[in-house]
Amino acid sequence: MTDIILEARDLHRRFVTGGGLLQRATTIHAVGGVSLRIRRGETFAIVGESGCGKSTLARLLLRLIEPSSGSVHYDGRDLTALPPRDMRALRAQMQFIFQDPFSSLNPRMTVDRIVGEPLRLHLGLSGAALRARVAGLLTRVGLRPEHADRYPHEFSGGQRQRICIARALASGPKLLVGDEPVSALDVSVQAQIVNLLEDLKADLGLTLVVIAHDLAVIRHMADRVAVMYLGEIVEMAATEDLFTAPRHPYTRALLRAIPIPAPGGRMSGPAPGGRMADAGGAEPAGAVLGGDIPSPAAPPPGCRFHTRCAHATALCATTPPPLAEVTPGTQVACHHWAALPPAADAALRVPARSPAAEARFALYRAASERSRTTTHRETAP
Amino acid sequence: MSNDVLTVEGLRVRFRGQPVDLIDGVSLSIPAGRTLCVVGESGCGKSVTSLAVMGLLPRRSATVTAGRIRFRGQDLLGLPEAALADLRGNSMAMIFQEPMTSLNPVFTVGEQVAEAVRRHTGCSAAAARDRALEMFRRVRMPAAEKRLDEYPHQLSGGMRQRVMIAMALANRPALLIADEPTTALDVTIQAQILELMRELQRDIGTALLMITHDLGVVAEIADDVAVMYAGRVVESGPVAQIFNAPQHPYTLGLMGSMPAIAGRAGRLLTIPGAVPVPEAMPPGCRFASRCPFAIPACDAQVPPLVRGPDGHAHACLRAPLEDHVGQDRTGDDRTGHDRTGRGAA
Ligand SMILES: Nc1ncnc2c1ncn2[C@@H]1O[C@H](COP(=O)(O)OP(=O)(O)OP(=O)(O)O)[C@@H](O)[C@H]1O
Ligand SMILES: Nc1ncnc2c1ncn2[C@@H]1O[C@H](COP(=O)(O)OP(=O)(O)OP(=O)(O)O)[C@@H](O)[C@H]1O
Ligand SMILES: [Mg+2]
Ligand SMILES: [Mg+2]
Repeated sequence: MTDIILEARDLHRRFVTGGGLLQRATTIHAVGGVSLRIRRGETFAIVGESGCGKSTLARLLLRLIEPSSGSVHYDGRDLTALPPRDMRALRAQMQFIFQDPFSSLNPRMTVDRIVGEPLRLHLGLSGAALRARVAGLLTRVGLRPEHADRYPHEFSGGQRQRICIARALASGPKLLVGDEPVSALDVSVQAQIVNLLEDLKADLGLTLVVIAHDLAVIRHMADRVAVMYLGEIVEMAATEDLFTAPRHPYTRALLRAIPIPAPGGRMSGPAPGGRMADAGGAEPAGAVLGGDIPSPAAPPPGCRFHTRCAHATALCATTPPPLAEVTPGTQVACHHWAALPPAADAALRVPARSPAAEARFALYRAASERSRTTTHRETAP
Repeated sequence: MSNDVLTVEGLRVRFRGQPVDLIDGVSLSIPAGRTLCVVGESGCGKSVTSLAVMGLLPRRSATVTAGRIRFRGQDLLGLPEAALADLRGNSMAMIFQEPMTSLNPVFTVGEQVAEAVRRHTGCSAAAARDRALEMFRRVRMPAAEKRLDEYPHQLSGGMRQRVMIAMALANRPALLIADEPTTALDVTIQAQILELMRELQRDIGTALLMITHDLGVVAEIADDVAVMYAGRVVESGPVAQIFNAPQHPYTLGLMGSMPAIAGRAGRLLTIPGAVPVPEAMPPGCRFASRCPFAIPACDAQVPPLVRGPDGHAHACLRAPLEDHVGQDRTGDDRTGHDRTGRGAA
């Protein structure tokens, strides 16, 4: 038996928008029947394109918003049935990190109040004990405790995300859900925060749920991945399996769309030159997925991906495919998964770095580890 | 050389009240039909450099203190504003990251593209609209004819970026500057847009200067790469050289801090600290304060940009690193990650 920390059962969430004097109300089915089980101690990633429902799902998982139907179970307890008082107590164990470290911090509060609030609220700390705990948390995320009396605007973007992480850690959580926690950050800062999250996870035994649209971040961090399209999970698999044996046509299209950071990488596939020009027949190996995502207010019937899928048949246009286990640990929602070209052929292929480059990266790694332990700190000043 | 559409030589830009030139001797060139990608952390001067080329720096606060910018042989820095305005949107065009800031919300997108055509060709309104429609079809705008009469807010992010590309390319520019044109877009839409830019570039022969932080995009679209750090080009050359034999420690730190799509290769590399502000600019190599290989000489002098016969240039006293860093060389070509963690001898 695997140890499940969080389980979602058939979660739905609809939003009604408009409905003013001039408009008819439209209903957006932002999350349409999501079921998943997150294992204690793993890093679970949710990926998909803008508007597919990732943030809505993440908020549902921590009951920051209420589901239209379905339930969420934390450690076996149904969150959706929990009275507010019990829910508040449980909040200490599950924390959320937002994408935008600028808008999620109260500009009028100093850092020690921001980080200290959950300590007072959940642990009832005050005075010297509170201050010591705040200082410890700031140090833990790589900030200077002597900056505790500053306001958020006095910090850089990366430092603000560290503040958010310190606040999330304050109540001693077991589960952290990050909604694009590094997307708004510049590359070098992003690397520092990714490393920090991984260190914290290892040191504190956390379970991480990470929303990201950057597949490289996901491959680096995650143990398992769920791919969403228009409010539904279309594929769920161990990270390595997803990248080396993708099953769903949408997952395959996503992988094909990733620009490969090696000269000639993606372009060296079997369809050289104008890939769009010869996109008439069945999808060429390098074909770019055409069209835009349909509006979530009017999703296609049947399989929601069928309007952009090269393998769609009449069945797909009428009948939604269930998410079913196709190999141990891999679930796919596609009527035709078994008849598709072999999964291994759809693997993401990335040429290896040159030995010369690899050797220099090794030198850099060794030198920066040496100088980090002697002079530098990894934090931004 | 004479084939270059754009040459920037020794460009220096200073902002009012600052003690040093923020852009400090940048040189670049792009031949017709080729693509130069400029990479670097936030604040390294990528946008300032491209705004200088377009003549769009804020006149009150920014001064070009030295250097030359030549566009098809013509010296842009000597040009009066009216002449520059004639070039912009005509033979020189620019696309920004966030199309909403450069599209006017009160005009339809068709009107805006047609107006760009009319301003520079003086053709009739009907002909300009035809040209706009033609461009919409070329950028594969879904339902192109209908979209002409829609307003920016009615379009998706990908469609807005298509409008920007249609507008930028409507007058067949010799030079296109694209500042993070796909960063805000989903990866499948990005793939469509990159493909489109490449195709149009092939047809028109446009020289493309592309700013991006995505190494995948660089590998995919660049012929040449310039790595910028704190207002200087610290490494440049053909794209294959930059990926296969990166020289500058900053290039290594930048590339190593990006998670590898090929799969996890240990902890991400990081660059400690942050890009220096003008008030605290290091006197020698501007990267020295963050460089794990820095020696006293790095602070004492500005390292010259040394160009090899293959066009690969770098500005680092410590390059090639394996010749200068006091560590036993393994000498073999194995690429196992287990080696990477090894400390100094
Ligand atoms: N409070 C709300 N009211 C109305 N519609 C909403 C609300 N929140 C989300 N939606 C809609 O639900 C859909 C899913 O939104 P969500 O923010 O979950 O997507 P996402 O996958 O997180 O996208 P992104 O990658 O852009 O953050 C979208 O169509 C969005 O417009
Ligand atoms: N008008 C201005 N006055 C003073 N400083 C400025 C001005 N415009 C830009 N700068 C400074 O010039 C530096 C370079 O800015 P620039 O916008 O070129 O960076 P960039 O490399 O494009 O970064 P990003 O990746 O964030 O777009 C920054 O430190 C910025 O603060
Ligand atoms: Mg979101
Ligand atoms: Mg910029």
